[in-house]
Formats: sequence, C-alpha cells, structure tokens
Amino acid sequence: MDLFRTAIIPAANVVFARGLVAALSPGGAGMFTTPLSASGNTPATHFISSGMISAAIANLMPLQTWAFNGSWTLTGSTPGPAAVVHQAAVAAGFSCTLAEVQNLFTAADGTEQPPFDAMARLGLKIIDFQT
Amino acid sequence: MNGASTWAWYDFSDLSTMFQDSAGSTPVTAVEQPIGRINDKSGNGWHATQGTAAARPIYRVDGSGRGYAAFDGTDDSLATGTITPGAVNKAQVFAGVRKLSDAAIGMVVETSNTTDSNDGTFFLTAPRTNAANLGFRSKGTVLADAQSASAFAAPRTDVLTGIGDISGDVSRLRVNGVQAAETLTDQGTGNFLSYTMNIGSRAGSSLRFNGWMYGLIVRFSAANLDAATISNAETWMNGKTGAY
Repeated sequence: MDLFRTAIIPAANVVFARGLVAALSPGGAGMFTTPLSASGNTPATHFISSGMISAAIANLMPLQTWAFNGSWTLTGSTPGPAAVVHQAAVAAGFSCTLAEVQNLFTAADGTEQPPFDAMARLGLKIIDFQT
Repeated sequence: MNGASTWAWYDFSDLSTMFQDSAGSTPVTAVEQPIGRINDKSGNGWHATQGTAAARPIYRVDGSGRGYAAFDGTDDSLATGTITPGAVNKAQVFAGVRKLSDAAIGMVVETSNTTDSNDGTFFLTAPRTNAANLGFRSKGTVLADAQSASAFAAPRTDVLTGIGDISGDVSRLRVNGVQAAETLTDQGTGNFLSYTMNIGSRAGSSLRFNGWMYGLIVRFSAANLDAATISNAETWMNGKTGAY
C-alpha cells in the first residue's frame, strides 16, 4: 500500500536526506532533486519530493497537518520515529548519527498536502529554468 | 502507423501496460496508484520507467471515464532506455494532454537530456514558456522552435502533434488537428539520434510537466506521414483524450 506525502527540506539537509532515503528503500533513491526558493531563482534554499510512497516509509517520516482559515494553522504534528529510522539506516549500511536524523526531522516539512499547496504555505517556488 | 520506420506508443488508459513499480511486477489496477512503468505498445520494447517512488505519475480517470497519468509538475517523470531511430531525419509526435498550469515550461516529451546541446533531437512542451502557449522543437545541428501564440491558456485539453523534418527544415506544431505554429528555418544536418526519451520532464530533473497525459506516440521515419495519416492519428489520440 502506498500513501501520498509531500516533503520539503532545507538545502542544508539535502545531501544527508538523499542518502538516508536511498538507504531506507530502493525507491527512495532520486528523491529531493527539485530545487526551491522564495523568488524562484537560484540559489536553492529547499528541495521538494512529492508523490506516492510505500506506507512503511511514509510511517517513518514526520507528518504535519495544516488548516487554512485566512492563514495557515498547524493542527497536528507527528514526529518521525528518529531512533527507529537511525537504526534502520545504520543496518542498511548508511553511516549516520541519531542527532543527524533528529535534525533532519526537525527541519523537514512533511504533509499530505499537494505539492503546490505546501510550497505556497511556505512561500516557496520551483526554481524556474528556461530552454 | 503504417509505413513507420520505428516508433513508440504509450497508452495511459490501458491498465494491461502499466505497473506500479519500475520492474513491472505489480500491475496498476486502480486509480491513485503510481505508474512506475508503462510498456511500449509498439512492440519495440521502449518501455518507460521511473525508479524513484515519489517521482512516479499517478493513474487517474477523468470525468468522462478516460484514463490518464497525472504528472504533478514537481518531480514526476518517466524515461525510456536508449531509443534508436535508425538513419532517419523525420519524426512525428502525437500526445493527448491536459495542461494544468502556464506558470513554467512543461516538458511533455524530449529526446536526450536536453535538446539545447544535443543534436538530432526534438521536444514537445505545454506550455512552451511561462505563458499560455505550446511548443515543438526539431533539431538537426541547429534548433528550430515552433511556438504557438499565447492563445492556449491552462487549464485546457489538447491533442498536440509535432512534425519534425531535419532535411526538409520543418518544425510544425498542430493543436487539435489544426496548425498552430511552424518554423521553416535551417535545422542543419544529420538524423534523429539515439537517446533516452524523457516523458514529463527534462532529464528527470527540471521543466516538469504539470498536467495529465492520456497517450503518447513517437515515430521516426525516412518519409513524412501524409496528411490523411496524420489526421487519423490525431483522431485516434482524440478518442483517448476527448479534446475536441
């Protein structure tokens, strides 16, 4: 079973996050490649990944719920099980500390919102490339 | 597709060709399931896949019962292995799409990781720029962009046809069976070359299409299709799309 998730993480965490999700699941490789910023221009301040992921992985991620009544209000927050994720990552051969996982989970914005809704809530845009 | 030199055909309404994983082991059986792989119905084996779970388009059905792949404009895309057109310099592309946004360039399909720097390539875009337009590019050693007027504002559903002829210097875009743009400038020399074909993005990393894709046919050939065959292909694609 798959669940829908949108995750936005600061650029400072992206290298660690990419390695972590790739270690946890083969389908995690290649996440967080879409750069974001407030202006839509470089440099990237955040990266986003959005779509259906396995429930097993989704349940390892922090999840927030938001309501909009003129402004966004946080209505719920489930912290990710950082210790479980840390153990699983190390078991998969990904070298990391529990503190690094906790730092990522604290910085991550994980929701069930459609990606453009989540980006709008955070005041972020996809960096616009031309051809 | 009578007389085709070689071609690829993706039908996002045909559940027998789609799988939730890139390996093709778990079939798509219901809406809201990810499309990790769609098999090429041409018989040439140019299946398109996506290995990253969150980057897979989602199978849905529109209000008229037509199945499509929903690309989120954020990170979704599919890609084939290397497609080998053969020593030919003409290409025809037919796509049934609904574009949902004009905010940024949306790559419906592009051969190679970028037509900007790779010769023997094409792309089809919706929109072509961050405006209410559409586009097709054909390139030998020199690119020729056919860009429509800004008269196609999202959201809208269309059958898009791209006609590329390197030696004949034709880059033509048709929308719902009617010519919408044409560029007849020199495309240089050479043939359409062997590359990965990216569906819904540039190289899986940028210019992501925000919209629905009902079907896609790409044909490479030594000879151009005649007008009747192009019309027949557009009519078939419209049956999958319901654009007009």
